[in-house]
This record gives sequence, C-alpha cells and structure tokens, in this order.
Amino acid sequence: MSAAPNPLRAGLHEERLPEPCTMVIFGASGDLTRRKLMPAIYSLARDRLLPPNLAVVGVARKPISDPDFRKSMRAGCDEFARRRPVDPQLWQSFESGIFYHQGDFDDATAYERLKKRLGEIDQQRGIAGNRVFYLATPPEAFPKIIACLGAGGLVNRKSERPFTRIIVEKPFGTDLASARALNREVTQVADESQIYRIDHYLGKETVQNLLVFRFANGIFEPLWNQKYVDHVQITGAEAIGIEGRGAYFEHAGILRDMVQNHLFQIVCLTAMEPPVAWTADEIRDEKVKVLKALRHIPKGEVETYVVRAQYRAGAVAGKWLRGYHEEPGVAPESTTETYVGLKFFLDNWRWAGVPFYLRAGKAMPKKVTEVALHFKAAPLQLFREAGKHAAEPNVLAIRIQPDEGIALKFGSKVPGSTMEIHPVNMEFRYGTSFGTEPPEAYERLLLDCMLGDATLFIRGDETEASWRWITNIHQAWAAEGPREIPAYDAGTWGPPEAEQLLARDGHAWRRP
Amino acid sequence: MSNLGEKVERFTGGQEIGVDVSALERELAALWRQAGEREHAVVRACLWNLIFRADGDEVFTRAKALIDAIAPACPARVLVLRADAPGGGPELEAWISANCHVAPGGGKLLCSEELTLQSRGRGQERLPSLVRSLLVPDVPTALIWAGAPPRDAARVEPLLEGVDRMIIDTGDLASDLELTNLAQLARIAAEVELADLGWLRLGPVRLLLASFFDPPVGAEPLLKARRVHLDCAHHGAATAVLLLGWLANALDWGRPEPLKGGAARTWRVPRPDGQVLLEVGVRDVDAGRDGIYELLIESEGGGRFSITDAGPHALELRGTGLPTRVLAAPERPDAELLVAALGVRGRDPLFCHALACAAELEEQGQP
Repeated sequence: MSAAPNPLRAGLHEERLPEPCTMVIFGASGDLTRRKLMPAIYSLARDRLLPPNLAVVGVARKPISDPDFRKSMRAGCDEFARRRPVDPQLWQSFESGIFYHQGDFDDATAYERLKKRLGEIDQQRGIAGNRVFYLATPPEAFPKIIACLGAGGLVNRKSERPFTRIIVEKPFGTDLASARALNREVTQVADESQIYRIDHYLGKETVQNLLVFRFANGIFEPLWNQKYVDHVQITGAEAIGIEGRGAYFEHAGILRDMVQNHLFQIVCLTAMEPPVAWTADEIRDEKVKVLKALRHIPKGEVETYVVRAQYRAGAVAGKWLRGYHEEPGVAPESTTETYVGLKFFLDNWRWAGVPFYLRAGKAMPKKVTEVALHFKAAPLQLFREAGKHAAEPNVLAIRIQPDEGIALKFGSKVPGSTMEIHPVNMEFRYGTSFGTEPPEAYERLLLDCMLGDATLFIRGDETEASWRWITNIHQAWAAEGPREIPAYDAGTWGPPEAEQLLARDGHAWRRP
Repeated sequence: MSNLGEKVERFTGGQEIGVDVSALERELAALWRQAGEREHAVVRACLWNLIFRADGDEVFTRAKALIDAIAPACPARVLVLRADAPGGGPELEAWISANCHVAPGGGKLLCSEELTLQSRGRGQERLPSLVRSLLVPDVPTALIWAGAPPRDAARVEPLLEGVDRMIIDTGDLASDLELTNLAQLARIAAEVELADLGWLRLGPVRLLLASFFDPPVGAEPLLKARRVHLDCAHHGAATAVLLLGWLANALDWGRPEPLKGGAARTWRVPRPDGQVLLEVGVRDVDAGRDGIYELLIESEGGGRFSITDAGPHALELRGTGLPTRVLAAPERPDAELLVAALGVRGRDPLFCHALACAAELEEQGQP
C-alpha cells in the first residue's frame, strides 16, 4: 500500500466531494431514517455530491432483509426526497450500496457481526474503512451504543485515516447533569473532534446566512451592538400542537424541545463576535462565549424573566385544535410548558443592557422562526407632526423559516404635499432572488460530516453552557412545586403575561 | 384592453416584442411598471448579466432553449447577440421578452428579462457598445459563447469589457486542434474567469478515475503509469486531449513528443523515473455527450484501471485489486452544467492548467 497522496484528488476538493465511506445508521427502522436521513443521502447522490461507492448500513432490532430495507427506503425517498421523482436508474446504482444489519443495541455480538459485515462491504465497494456512525435512536440508547462501538473496536480513535465520526441526534441530555454524563461517555470512546452533535437548525440556509449577512457585509456590523440596537426579539413559533406526542412532550416541554437547542443556536449566531477564522473551532469558541455571557437569573426572580403557559383548545388558521390537556399521554395536573417567553441579557461589551426577548410556542397562529433587531430611534424627532408612524423604530427582521429572507423597516415620506411618514419594508427573499430550492438541512449536515467539517455541529462545552442556563429555570420551576400555569388559546400569540413581559419595558412583541 | 396592456400580457407570457433599439430600457421599464399593477404580483430578480453570443440558426435556437431552461435557477438579464441575422433589414434590431415562472413556494410570478439583439453587416461593430449600455449595474457579467468556441480571439475581445466570466463548451469544438486557439484565448482573457461546460461534463469521469487511486490501492500505480489510452467518438477528440492535459498537469509529466504511425494519435511523455505513452483513438462509437468511450491506464507493475461506457448512462469500472462495478452515470443537461458554471465550479483553476497542457500536446502533435 502506498502512502503517497492521490495527485488526482488535488483540486477536486472544490466540489466538496467526500472520500468513500460507510454511513451506519442506528435506529434505521425509525421515522427519522425514512423521512429525513435516507432522502437526504439520496438527494446528495442525485446532486452528485457523494462518491459513487458510498455505502449505507441501517442497524435496528427488527429483522429485515436487505431487499426489504431498500424497498422501504425507496418508499421514503419517493415521498420525502427533495429531488423527486426518484430517478430509477440512479436508484438502481444507489440501492446497491444500502444494507441492513439486525441487532440489539446492547448486544456485543451484534457489534462483532457488524464489524465483520463492514469489512466485507469495504472490500466489495472499495471503501478504505472510513465510517460515520449516526445515532438516530431514542436518547436512552446513546450511551449503550457508544460504549459498544468502543468495546467492539469500531472506533478508530483520533486517527485521520481511516476516519471514524459519530453523529449524535438531539436531545443531547435533558439537563446539565445528563449532558455532562453523556459528554463523558462519548469522549471515553472518541475524541471530541470525532463527535458531531447535530441540530438540524444549523443546516438551514438562512441560519447560515445569518453569519454571511453579518460578517460578509460591512454595513451592518457597525450597527450590531448596544449603541444602536434597542432590543432583540427571537420567535420560534409552530402552528401545530403536540400531535399525539404527549408522552414525549410531558418530559420535554418547549424549553427543552426548542429553546435549549434551536433557538439558542440562533441567539449565538445573532450575538456572537466575528470569529478570527472561518474554522469549526473558532466559530464554536465565539458561540460558547455568548452562552457564557447569559446573565444568570437570580433565585426567586424567574417569574420576572420567564413566562410559561399551556395552550387551550382553539382554532389555528381556521382549523380546530384540541387543548394540550386533551392530548393523550398528558397528565391532568401537567404543568409542562407549551409556550415560553423569556427576557435575558448578555453581559458582554457588545450587548450590555440590551434586552433579548425570546418566545417559543406550540399552537401559535402560524409557523415562523425569525430574529428581529429593533434599532434605537433617531436622536431628535424632527417630524413629530408627520403622523403616528414618524417615530417608529427601524427593524431588521431575519426570517429563518418559512419564506426565508431579510426585511428592513424604515420610515418613508408618503407622496403628497404634506409631510406624512409611513413605515415601508425593503425585502430580500431567498426564493425570489435565487429562484432555486435550497438543500434540506440534513443534506448539508450529513455532507459536512462526511467531509469532516464540524462548523455546523455543536461542541460539548456549548451543550453544557446552554444546559446550565436552562437547567437553572427548570430547577426554579421545580422548587415552586405544583401550581397552575397561564393558558392561551390555540391560534393566538401566547398568554397576556407574555405581553406584560415586554410591556414592562415599554416594548411589544412583533407580529411576524 | 389597451395596447400597452396587451403588450404586457405578451411580454410576461414570454413572447418577444420588437422594440426600438434606442429605447430598450424605456420600453422595459414601462412594461414592468404595467406588469406590477396587475392582479398577480410580479417580482423581478437579477443575479447576473448573461451575454449569449449565438450565431447561426441552429446555435441560436439551442441558445434560446438553454436560456429558457436556466431561467428558474438563475434569474438574470439575458442579452442574446446574433451577428449574422438572416434576411434583409436594419443593421440592428431588438426584441424584449420576460422569462417568468412561479416562485418557489408559489404565489408570485418571478421574472427575468431577455433582450435579443440581432445585427447585420456593420451593425456587428455597434453590438459591444449597445451591450455595455444595457448591463444591469452591480451584478456580475458572464459571456456565454454558444456553439463552437471562437477560433479568433479578436472576435471575442470587444465583448470582454466588464465581463467577469466567459463560458465556453469544448464539447462543441469541431477538432481537438482548436484547443490551441482556446489556450491562446485563455491567455488573452487572463483577467476573465474561463469556464467550460465540457470540463464540467467530464467531472464524474475525473472523479471516478481519481477514486481508483485512493487507499487501499494508493497512488503508486498512477505514478508508475506506462500507458494511457483513450478511445473516443469523433466529437470527443478535444475532450479526450483535455483529459490527458489534466493527467499531464496533475502528474507533472514533461514535454510531450509526438510519435508517428498507428491508428491512434500518440505521444511519449517523460515522467519521474520513466515514460508514459499517451494514445487517443478516434472511431465511430456511441459514447454519449462527452464522446469518451474508454479510458485505460496501465502501470509498470501490471496494474490496469479502466472506465468504459457501458451503455446508456452507465459506466463500467475495472481496476486491478478492485471489484468490477457498473455505476449509473446520468448525463447532466447543458442547463444544469451552465448553472454550475455560473457558480463556484465555474472558477476551476485546474481547467486552465489542463487546457494549457492539452494545447501543448496539440502544438507538439501538429504536422
């Protein structure tokens, strides 16, 4: 075997093509694999972004044959792939690289058999032993799988070639203690650089565009601080309820389900300092600093900063939705929050004194995720007589989903002989400027992992820093003991208490 | 319906409307204003100025079809130039039309503009200045030379002012000998990024060839290559030499020496510790759009690595120590390649290096 680098690979990197590898998906019989992972891998192959000899091995408890697994994956791609309809010719070649391996996640012999099978697939497909292990199982199985991978000699620790990478799905822990424990378990088996903690929000084009918008353009960054920004509002609203997932949601709540991961990532990207270089660790260093700057909520003051609520039955966009308490699996005395409104501060030079308001909720009027920077008013109001809109602040709204784009609100003179001012929006929309559909978040993230680019994945210390702040709130709620929490009608923007959270500061929630 | 209203209907419906050359912008502005006042929202978008040079009926028709195909993926102001307008008429004529489609997510109609400028006789000399006056400011400009790339760089130069990227298709070259002209053009237009649809078409083959020499096989057989043979269809001759140019550049081969005799065009090139024989055989084969039927590399140690056309949209890969595989290789439509050429893949320094090496092979091979 030659150690000389392959000279024909030089320059091909521009096409972001990963080296041949085998992706092993634990939890392959689950919904995530069928609806998201396999359609994403297929779409990447369809876009010619994967090596033709890539292999995918599904691992789960159910006994399924290779042909049946392929059939089920084909059905998933037919239904969910971005690139539809599935190209039959391409599928024929693609499915020859799909395999299924039956085994219990805690059975050591299953891993021995898996190791042998992967070796055979390497031979058959011309793969040099590169592996990506994807943990798409319920989180309780993570420690077992990771330990068995290590004990079974399936993790090539720290080695560059052949590489081993482990993708861990969310939730990464349920509080600070469990996140720390899981981090310890994972890093006993693999180096931190081999761990890819996934949050699919980071794979969204508009989330990445937040960084481009801020750091590739010279005009916004000088305004992006406490001198010019009055306050920041972040909204993560879902129009659906919990859709029968009562058993899961009762243990999670919206704070764990949306805020600790997705929305805190958006907070980080909105508030972070420019990284010194565009590398995974430099970017993640800056994100961690934001999380460390989150001002601690003192004991007994949680109510001043946090509003939680549950939705009652109501109509969302004309459709009737049952209340949270009417969902199966929800305890009658449940105080699990389906809505949370937060006010927090980042104690750093850039954001000192700027309130951040964040809300996340189920059964909201519509699905929307956005960040809005509300700028301070002009220092002198010259146009007091120019109508009620004359003093409206400028707002820069970055829409993450849907209808991704950026809008800047500013005042403009209404045409005519009088001095009347009306707010107008200057809009950029992804869809209308680029005309193409962006790749699915999972496509980007899976490809990045195969390429060894961890920029859009979460580092261990980042997880712990966000859990530290969130756990503080959970502990405060637990200390309060059982009590009734506010309610809001499904199809509204939350309870009156959430309005008061901002009204106390002279602000109001945006209507996204 | 007013005359203007009818015009707007035809315009946004994609029909061409003849306009006075001196009032192109004014006419366009009036049509967009009117279109914006109708019941359904119309959004204009522009990421590029795309100048298509398309002479001759067949090339012109193909270019028009290509423009329609890329419109949804690449909103642009498109200027189509034809310097050999058929029939009699004024020296310069102009038509405008809109390329509209429903924006992703539905609802709005997303439109970009297409201006067709045809010249006769000396009108051609006025085309470049007309083009300059019609470019949308603050967006990049690409010149797309439809059909066979130009033999004479002087034909291109007047159009290059303000152009950021030039896109050609070596797959349309009538002969591999024209690679030399193209390399000269690349040198003249050194400030302009040069992209080639033929090079992008070769992407999958280059990738598969590279994958032979990843571990466990490694680069050794490649570094010890003793013969590289390419079998191609007539239309693939230039592409085959370009492929050899890529190998010559990547493997740092020396100055080629042409060899006479035999059915194939043959060169001998020095490499560290030895020599490589390069052969291009042209024959009547059905070899797809890139024209390559088979690529074979033989090494000193007896290793053989080949990629062979295995029927419609399939390639067979054989390599010493590796299992034989047949892989689907669907052909990429020209529209997809053009969109790629307008993206980061259109800035591939490897192409210019490969072109320079290919031109050297040609220059050495000239009788």
